Amino acid sequence: MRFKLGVKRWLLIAGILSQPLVNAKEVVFSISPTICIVNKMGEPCTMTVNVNWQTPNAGDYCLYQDTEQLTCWQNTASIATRLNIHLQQNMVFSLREQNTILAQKQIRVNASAPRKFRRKLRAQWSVF
Amino acid sequence: MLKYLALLCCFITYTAIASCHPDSDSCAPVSQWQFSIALGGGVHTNPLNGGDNIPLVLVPSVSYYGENLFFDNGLLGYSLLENERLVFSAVTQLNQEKAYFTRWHPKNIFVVSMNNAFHGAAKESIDINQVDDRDWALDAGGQVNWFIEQHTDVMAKLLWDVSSVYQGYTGELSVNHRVTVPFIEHSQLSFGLGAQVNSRKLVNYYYGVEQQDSLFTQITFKGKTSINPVFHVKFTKAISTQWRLSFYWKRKLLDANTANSPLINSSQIDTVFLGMEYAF
Repeated sequence: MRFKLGVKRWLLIAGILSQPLVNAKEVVFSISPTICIVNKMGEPCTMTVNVNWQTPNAGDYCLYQDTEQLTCWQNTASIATRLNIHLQQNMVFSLREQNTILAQKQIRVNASAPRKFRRKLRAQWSVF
Repeated sequence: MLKYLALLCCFITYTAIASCHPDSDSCAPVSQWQFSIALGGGVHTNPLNGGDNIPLVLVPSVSYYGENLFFDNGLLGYSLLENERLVFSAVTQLNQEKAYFTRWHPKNIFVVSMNNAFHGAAKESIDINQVDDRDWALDAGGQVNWFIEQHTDVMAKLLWDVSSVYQGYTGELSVNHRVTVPFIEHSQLSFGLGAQVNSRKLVNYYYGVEQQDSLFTQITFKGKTSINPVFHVKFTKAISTQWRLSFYWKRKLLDANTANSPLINSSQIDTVFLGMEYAF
């Protein structure tokens, strides 16, 4: 009897702990393309991306670029849309419900041609 | 005062974004080693009692800049984040303080020994040969380069002793500015003004004197956190694509928290060099 109660208790705990993981697994989030090409690194990159997401339950969800909120949807369970984005360096885009990150993807900024010169990072001449 | 701050903010905000000009001395070709050697005359002074000044006759310079990885005359780094104005890098380098206690620092390889001529200190002094030897330390940490505009930049670096030798930190902050000299073709003059911060543990390890440290004297000295102002000026004039005339002067003023050490006989460290530099 004691053993059975113990098992139930453990199953309950395991169920509670696995709840966010199950939800996270059921969220489908994609953003494409995931690479933004610029002439040379440091230049701002602007492009239109396809954003698709799907959640098990309708709710209020927001899309974030790093910490900046881009757009929100109310009482929605899935979206397929296009968005204009601006970025200057690699950036993480995340789908959030309130402050919880449900899924995230990174968009990288790449230079079309490798740069030929870069700034020196040591001001002094020689080893002195 | 507020007026000047507002002016500074406008200057920082609206100046044209810095770019890397291939001909500039402050730019390096990506994925290429650069070697140069300067032949001339100069000296790197040693502030320690019994320490050797380092005469500068042949001065090598080695650097490599990849897309992220770089090595520049002893500084090894990896740029983690880079945009038009800011570069954040993880860096590591040998701590330079030990060089004053030894003849085997990389910067001492190309030169011959010369006895220190400074003996003007009136305070009680201890020769470095009378105290225990100091060890090399490897520092690692972060560096930020802020390119305010094409000719002006700020560099900040904070490093910790990762070799557990002195168990402290060292930092550096400098503002560098470059100008072309009127009426002298293909020339550049650069200035740097800044400060080095050495933690109490660093000063104590290298310049502190414990009772058991010296068998010859009862003098003791405990170091404290030190801020050492640094100034440098460099003038170059290109003679051809490979040869150029170079003049370099750097002065570091030692904080009293370091300079009061009985091991030290001069509160300033000078590096002066005039010569011809050949780029391979």
